[in-house]
Amino acid sequence: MNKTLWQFITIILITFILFFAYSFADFEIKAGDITLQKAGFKDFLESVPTAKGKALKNFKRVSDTINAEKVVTDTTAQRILLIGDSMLEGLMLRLKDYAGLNGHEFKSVIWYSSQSKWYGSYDTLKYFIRTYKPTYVMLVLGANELFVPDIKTKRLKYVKNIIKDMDTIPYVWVGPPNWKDDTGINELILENAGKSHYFPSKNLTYKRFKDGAHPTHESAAIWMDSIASWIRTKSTFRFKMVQPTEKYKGSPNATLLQPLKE
Amino acid sequence: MDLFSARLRDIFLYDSTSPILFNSGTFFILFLFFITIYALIHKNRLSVSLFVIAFGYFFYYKSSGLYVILLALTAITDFSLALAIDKAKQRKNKKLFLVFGVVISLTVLGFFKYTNFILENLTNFVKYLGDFPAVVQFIKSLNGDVFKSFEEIAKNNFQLTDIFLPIGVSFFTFQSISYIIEVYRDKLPPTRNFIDYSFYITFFPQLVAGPIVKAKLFLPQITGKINIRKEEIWAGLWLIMTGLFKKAVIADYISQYNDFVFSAPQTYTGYENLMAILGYTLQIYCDFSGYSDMAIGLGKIMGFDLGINFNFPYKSLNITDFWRRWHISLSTWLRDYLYISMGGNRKGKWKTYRNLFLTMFFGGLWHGANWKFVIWGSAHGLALAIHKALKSVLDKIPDIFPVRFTAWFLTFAFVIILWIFFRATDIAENSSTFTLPNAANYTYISATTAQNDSTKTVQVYFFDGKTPKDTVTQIVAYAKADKIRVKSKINENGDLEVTVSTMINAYRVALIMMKKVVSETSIDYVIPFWTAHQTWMILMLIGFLMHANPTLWTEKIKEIYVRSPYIIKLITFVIVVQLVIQFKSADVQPFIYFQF
Repeated sequence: MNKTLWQFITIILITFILFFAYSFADFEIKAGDITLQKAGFKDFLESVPTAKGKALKNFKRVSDTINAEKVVTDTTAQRILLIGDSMLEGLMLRLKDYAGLNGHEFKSVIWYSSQSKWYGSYDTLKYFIRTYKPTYVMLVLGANELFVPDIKTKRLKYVKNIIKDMDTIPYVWVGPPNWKDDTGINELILENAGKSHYFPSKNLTYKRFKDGAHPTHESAAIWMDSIASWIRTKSTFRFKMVQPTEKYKGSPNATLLQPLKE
Repeated sequence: MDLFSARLRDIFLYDSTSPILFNSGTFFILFLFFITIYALIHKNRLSVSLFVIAFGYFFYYKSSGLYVILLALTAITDFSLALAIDKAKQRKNKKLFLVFGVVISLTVLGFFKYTNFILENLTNFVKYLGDFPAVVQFIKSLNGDVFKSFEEIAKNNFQLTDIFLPIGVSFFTFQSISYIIEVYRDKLPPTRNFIDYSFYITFFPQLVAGPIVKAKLFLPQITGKINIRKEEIWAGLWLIMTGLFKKAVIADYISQYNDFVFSAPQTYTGYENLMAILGYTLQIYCDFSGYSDMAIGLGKIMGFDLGINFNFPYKSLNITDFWRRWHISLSTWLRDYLYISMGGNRKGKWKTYRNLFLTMFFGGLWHGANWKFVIWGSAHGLALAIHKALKSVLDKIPDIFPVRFTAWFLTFAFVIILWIFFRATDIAENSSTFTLPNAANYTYISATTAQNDSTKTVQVYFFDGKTPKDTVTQIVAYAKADKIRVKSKINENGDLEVTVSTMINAYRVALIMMKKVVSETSIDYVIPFWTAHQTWMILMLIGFLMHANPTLWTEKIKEIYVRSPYIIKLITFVIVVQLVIQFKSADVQPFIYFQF
């Protein structure tokens, strides 16, 4: 018996037990401002298996059941909650024009650098739904997780939580305006939200700001026009979104949330 | 039960989207089981050999799926050929077996790694020839049939784009070649035990990403009793921890900013480009040396010495010194089996320079089937030759601090500049997507471009199964573009989604970055950059400080750790794992050297 080798094994084993137990704990350890992240054991053991690779083509998706949903056209004024990451900055300027012309109210919530993981872990979305009481939610999320490997496993739980938070409120999840191929965030959203709740922003071409990622305001306006057209024609919940030809005055009602310190 | 079996499948079955990495949770669990069984049986030579081989094959299966068969075939072929070389009495027969073995190994490597590269260049060459009717006529007069088939290739833009590159094929092929060459040179008796040879080829710590362990270093270690020494176990754990920190904390985190800049350098300032270039310089070192440290550490814990692979390469004072410190196992392999085989420095100075250049030319090509790697390798080869030529003059310069500093600076700057070319990829400038209903009706034929004043027109051809001639289905126009990329996929509705992108090629990307750094770097960006990217900057500083740390200190710290009490070792390991988890939540990048 090699005593040192067994000592080494106990180090590995104790570390494993510690992180395994912590991943199942219903509390979080904090060191100052920093929350100690949990290992992914719990997520790994509890996440629902997903179809992978080529099988996806034949995999029955949530979107396959969309045809069964009844298309609703609502002509009344809406209370729209535009919530998500920094990509919605440009959208809200144009949405202001749509709201002005069509008589809707809207509120924007920008959580900088946010990801599905954040919205799926905290009650931010629920909080704004509870306080603002929207009749329609536009969620713009996914641009900060374009390159996450194995995203379908890692983020599935959070995407499901977000959709659960929407409850019965009609919504659209506006996919990220890709500047590079993503590792699966768009497919993940589509598979879970379904075609009637997903707007594929990645299919558009954008002019972008100097950072190479955010669409210019001009380009974001065209993006918003496309979303509005989608709401009028492809969404199962359709409402008045006549395209404005002029700009409406005033500042959008926006709440800005700072990034999480992870 | 479904969930449980799904998790078991995740652990034990191959998933092409997530090949196993040492810093993954899956490996952590598997290794815990592995090392426990290893500890129980390590004194029984046969049992431990069979167990480690089985785990090696399983590990490779988790990396490359059924290409594990390729690994087995490589082991069988080279084991048999080494015996044949040893048995052959005449030198020419020995040579015949050697050449046969090397050709087989290189053919396998070439097929998986270079087929598309060769076809792509052949296509471009024939297209280029088409611009010179006189040349076309001349070649046709020599052999019309050959040219006709080349023309077909060029016309159809033929590419075998779906050849899978089995992970680590470059590493185990080189190991295998080293073995038969050593046997041929009578420097190593062939092993007559297939289990021993399989153990060498499938030893999982170095199987998929090196170090490329030479047979003469490794085989003698597996014929005798496995000797696991106390100090080696703790030194191994130390290496695993430093490797984890370098790979999973520093490299993976800083890569995210680097990727943003390298994918759109024209949109960033000179200072931001400079930071990304320095970032990549640290990233590639931490990524690769970190993974090597983990491999070497795992080997030590199991009682095997895999040598060293990196020795603080950015401290080099000249380019020759750099290649003695960077990816040592590859550079010594190239020296022993390529440079020396070509004559080394034994046939006059000009042939020495030529050999240095060619060695690095092929060394560059080893890194990937792309001209940028060839250019990178060639530039290093040229620098090595120039350094060799000037060595007698340089040796006369006094060895004082200002000289040493200048030498270090020039070497570092040269290495960094070449990393830009190494890292830069073609980037999409503009993309346009269109959809063709019902994908099954269409077959992609080709995309052609036409230049009209300042506008480039792209015509994308699809065969719709009915019209006898190519059908122009879409025309997209762009201003300026180095090249066009057409990607198509079947979307969720069963339609064909085609994306046409104008691309800036990798060389221009590299040049854009350098131009930005030279002409647009301003000190005004230092504070805003620090404010915006504090964690990134702190990790950069830690990474470079770890590297700049005097070698003796590094050894001293390791010794202190090795001698520290058990509880300190446990706490340190827990802290490192927590750090990995903490930074992993900021998303992980795949291991850079898997692509090679």
